[in-house]
Amino acid sequence: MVSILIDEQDGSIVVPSFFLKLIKSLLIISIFISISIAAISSRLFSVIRFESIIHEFDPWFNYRATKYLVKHGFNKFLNWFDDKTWYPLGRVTGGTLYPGLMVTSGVIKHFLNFVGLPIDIRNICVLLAPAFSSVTSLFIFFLTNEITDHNTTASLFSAIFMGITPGYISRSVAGSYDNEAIAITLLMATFYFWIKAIKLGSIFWGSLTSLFYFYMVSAWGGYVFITNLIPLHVFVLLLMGRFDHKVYVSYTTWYVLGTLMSMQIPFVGFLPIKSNDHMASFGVFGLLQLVLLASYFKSTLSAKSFKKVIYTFGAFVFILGITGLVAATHLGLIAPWTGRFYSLWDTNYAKVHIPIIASVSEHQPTPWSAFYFDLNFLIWLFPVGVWLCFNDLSNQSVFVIIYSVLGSYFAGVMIRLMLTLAPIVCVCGGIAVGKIFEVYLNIKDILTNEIKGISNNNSGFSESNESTKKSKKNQNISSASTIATTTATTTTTNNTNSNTTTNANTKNKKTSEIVHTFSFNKDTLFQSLTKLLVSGTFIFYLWFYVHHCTWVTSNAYSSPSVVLASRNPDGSQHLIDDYREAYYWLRMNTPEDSKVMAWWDYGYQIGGMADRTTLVDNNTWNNTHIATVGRAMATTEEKSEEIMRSLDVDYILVIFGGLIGFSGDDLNKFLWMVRISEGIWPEEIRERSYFTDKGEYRIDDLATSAMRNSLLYKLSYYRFGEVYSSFGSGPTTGAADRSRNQRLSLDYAKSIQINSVEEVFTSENWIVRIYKLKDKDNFGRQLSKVGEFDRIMNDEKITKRNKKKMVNMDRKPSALRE
Amino acid sequence: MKNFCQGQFSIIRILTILLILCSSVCAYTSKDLDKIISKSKNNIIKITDKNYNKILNNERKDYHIAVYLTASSPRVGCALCNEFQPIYTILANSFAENLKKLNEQERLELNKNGGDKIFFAIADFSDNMEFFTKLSLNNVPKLFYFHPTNSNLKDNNDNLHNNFDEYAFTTGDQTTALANWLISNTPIKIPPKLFQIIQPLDYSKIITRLIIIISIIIIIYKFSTKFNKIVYSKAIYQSISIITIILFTCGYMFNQIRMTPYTKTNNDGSFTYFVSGHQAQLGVETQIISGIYAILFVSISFLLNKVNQIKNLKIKFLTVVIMVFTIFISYAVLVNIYHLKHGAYPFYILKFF
Repeated sequence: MVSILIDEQDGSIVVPSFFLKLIKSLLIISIFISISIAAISSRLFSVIRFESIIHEFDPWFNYRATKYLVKHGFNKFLNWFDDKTWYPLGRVTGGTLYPGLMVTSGVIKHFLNFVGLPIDIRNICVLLAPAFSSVTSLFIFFLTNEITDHNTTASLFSAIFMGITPGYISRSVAGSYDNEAIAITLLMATFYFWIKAIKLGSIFWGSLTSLFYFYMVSAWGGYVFITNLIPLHVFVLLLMGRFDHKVYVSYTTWYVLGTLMSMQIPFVGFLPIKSNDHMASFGVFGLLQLVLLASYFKSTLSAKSFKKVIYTFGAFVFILGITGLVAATHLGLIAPWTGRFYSLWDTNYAKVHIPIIASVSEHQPTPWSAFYFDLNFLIWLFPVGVWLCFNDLSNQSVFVIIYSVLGSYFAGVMIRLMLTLAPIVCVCGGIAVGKIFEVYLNIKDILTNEIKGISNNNSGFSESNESTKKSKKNQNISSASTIATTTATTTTTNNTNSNTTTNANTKNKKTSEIVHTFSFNKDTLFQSLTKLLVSGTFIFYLWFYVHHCTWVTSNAYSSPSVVLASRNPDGSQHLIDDYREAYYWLRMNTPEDSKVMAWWDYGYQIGGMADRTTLVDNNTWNNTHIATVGRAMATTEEKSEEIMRSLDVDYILVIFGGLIGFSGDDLNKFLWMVRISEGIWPEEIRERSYFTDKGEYRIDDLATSAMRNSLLYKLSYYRFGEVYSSFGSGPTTGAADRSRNQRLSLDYAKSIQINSVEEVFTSENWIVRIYKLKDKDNFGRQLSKVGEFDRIMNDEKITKRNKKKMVNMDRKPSALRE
Repeated sequence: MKNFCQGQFSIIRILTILLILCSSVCAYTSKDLDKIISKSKNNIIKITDKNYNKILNNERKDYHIAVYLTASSPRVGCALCNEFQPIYTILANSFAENLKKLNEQERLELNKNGGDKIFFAIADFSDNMEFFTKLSLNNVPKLFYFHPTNSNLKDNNDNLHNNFDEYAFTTGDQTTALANWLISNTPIKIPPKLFQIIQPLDYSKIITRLIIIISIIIIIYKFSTKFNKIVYSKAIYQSISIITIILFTCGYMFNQIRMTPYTKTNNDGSFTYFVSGHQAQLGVETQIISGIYAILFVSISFLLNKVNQIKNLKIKFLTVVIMVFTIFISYAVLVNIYHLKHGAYPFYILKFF
């Protein structure tokens, strides 16, 4: 039985220590469960609003690959040659993907089946990211706990911050079945084990680090971040003179095991010993051996001979290393920097050399507003956390500092790397808030001042607080813990727990109640007012944070982008489901082996939803092939017919948002098509010729001839005038392109004709338009001639028919008369 | 000594040339251009309103000339112009250098086809108002290639408008694109090696940099104890890290990569400091926001550190109130500014504007 005694003399409650520990862990667990619930439920907006559906582009490929894995097994999956993409080249898919994500969901499915829960693989894929987000919070908790040397408040704060920060939610909502969904979890796990390893210097934790590193390598290309961050951490420790055997043991364990294991992934292969991205970790590995050797010499040799040895030896190693590096690069043994990595350092590199990287919107630099949008008030608490890390400069704080500086640089250069910055911002924010509440929500000293004077009141007080007994830092206080501490911690944890709104107010009341009861003299009044003020405002900021995060998640990151949502004039929601309509049409109405040409953005979706062969897709491994498709879109109809015939194209799919004002359509991406194909055929395709003399991007009557004659333009605006033809003609009428806010005059819009292709499908809102490449003419005429001829014939027919009608009209009255 | 003499001579030369020019029918041949180049510093002819007719619009023109039309003054703010100009000048200079390096036979071969009659010129908007109007240009930069006057052409008077080709600016490697364009435009067979880029060595730059490096080393060596103190002081690293973090999270890299303007001038002459949308940003935004973050940072760190050292409870309370107030107001201002970027954002802390 637990006995709670009240010490009559100093008014403190005496509680057995195991009981306190029990309550503490129970509280932490329940807080943790609520964090998980918050994290998962805020990611379910899209499922509730739309349905359980895979989002965007890349997830569709992952989904398709997962289905393949589940159906055919692991070995076949690794050897998968996909002939339905990159026609006619095909893609060695098994060897060119990171299998971690698919294997994870495959394992989960098999496990659930084994348990007896037959869950559809699609639902596993959709809900994988939210599930893993709660694991991420757990690892963030552990990581912060290690960094702050077991400051539970800070750790819980960082966990809840991470659970609902939009910066992370952006990539982990339900349905966003992408590599990042599990990669961030693994990133945090690896870092947690790494910190643990250098703290303890244990091979066990080092091996766990490398195990999770291996998992990370199998899941995401961003593993290079770990590959460089850990060596950098060790190197800085070395410079600071903090190198010891603990660091040595954990680093070498991680490096050797991690590198060996990462080479087992087919896509990575020999990169870890070849590519320059990995050279830093190898260099530091070598350096550590040298340092160890030097320290051995130092312990055995005399000071003078040690100096001699170290100089000659140092020079020798230096020269050997440099020549080795240069020779290896020249012999081609070491690959040059990979493009994506290089574009991080030289920010103009991508723009000039690899337009395909520059074209991706995720690779754009980040303005300040995006930081605020994704991280809210954490962004200004972030430097405070870093500053606190400096104040208590342990090995693990150094890690946090390096991560923070590098992470914020990368996030500033490329908006998608906000994802790697978010965890460390949450850790720093947690540390900062934890520290603020440690100072300003701790009313222990106020109470201890007062408690002496009012020991008589004790019985009543302890009753009201009975339910909230636990201690934060004083596990070592075996039996006596003052009420004060208990209350303070409870409020803190309560607040963490309650990330939702209302508790802030109740808690304020609670604090003020206590203050009210005990504030008798002036000093205490000021003291408690100070604390109330600071903690009150910060609790308000936390409340604000929760609202901000929920709003951002619900408004910005919960759209599946396969289904678009808009509002009717009366405010009700209207779903635009053109994509699925069109893909379903393709699946049902076209031969199974037909090849669909579309811009690469839609490759994965066509493969996943329509199950048709594509020419290019979001795995942009072959720039030339993409440029060929871009050229077919950008050049004249005759030339593009030739290209399409040579590529065996059956259908052409274009996205057109002009009718309903959808801005992410092909014409708005057109310049990238032009730029990418210009890189290969500069003499045929020129970006400049798609702009008017004044440098405007026009699609109306004043469009340049290159623009008018391009295939994409024609396919987009073919029959566009017909929609508006009933509105009559005049200065304000005409075919209005709502996406680009330009107006084509009706006559001009009607003059846009196509010859070599025919329209076979246009979706409800015209977003997706599908054309079929006509067969060659039976008489060997050019299709453009045939088209012209047909149109003339048609016109003649119409005029004849009209004449007939006129005649009929003339007759009708007479017939009536009769 | 030699240079000095040349300088003296050049004055005389200019005078003679001027005399010749005025007396002649105001039309240049390739020899005249050679003379102009030999006295100019680099190998590019400067075109102005005074000489464009003589150089480009004359019936005696027996040379090929590429003209780069630009507006380099910062008032125009033409980014592409300034980006392309160094490429053009380096190529022109390298061409001239490479021409000198040719051996006798190659030169004869080239000259036989008229290869020595290729010139590079540049025309800046500020000196060429008339010329640009005559070409009815409405955007720069442009690069034209004027062919020699063809006597077969009917309309000999108007060489400006019918006897040229235009270079299309591309993305990607401009230097090779430019060289290829020049080669493809001239009927003369130019060996591509003439367009090999020779990066000019700027000796003064090298020397100044060397001096700076050496002096830094000397200073470090002289004040090594003080220097060590700085190197080993935590505060330096602390402030550097925090400043860089604040800069990066305020969109500094965005400004660097996109080369954003500092402020935007409206039609009525007033300034805009914040442009809306997550895709755009002005230079001043980064400064204002980093200022706010810095205030927030300083006041919180003050709350956490310095305040606790104050013994007098009243003063302590007062400082805390000030700090809390500063944080509150700065955050409220930040949220207000954010509304300028993102109109649909529903939350306010305090509504200022």
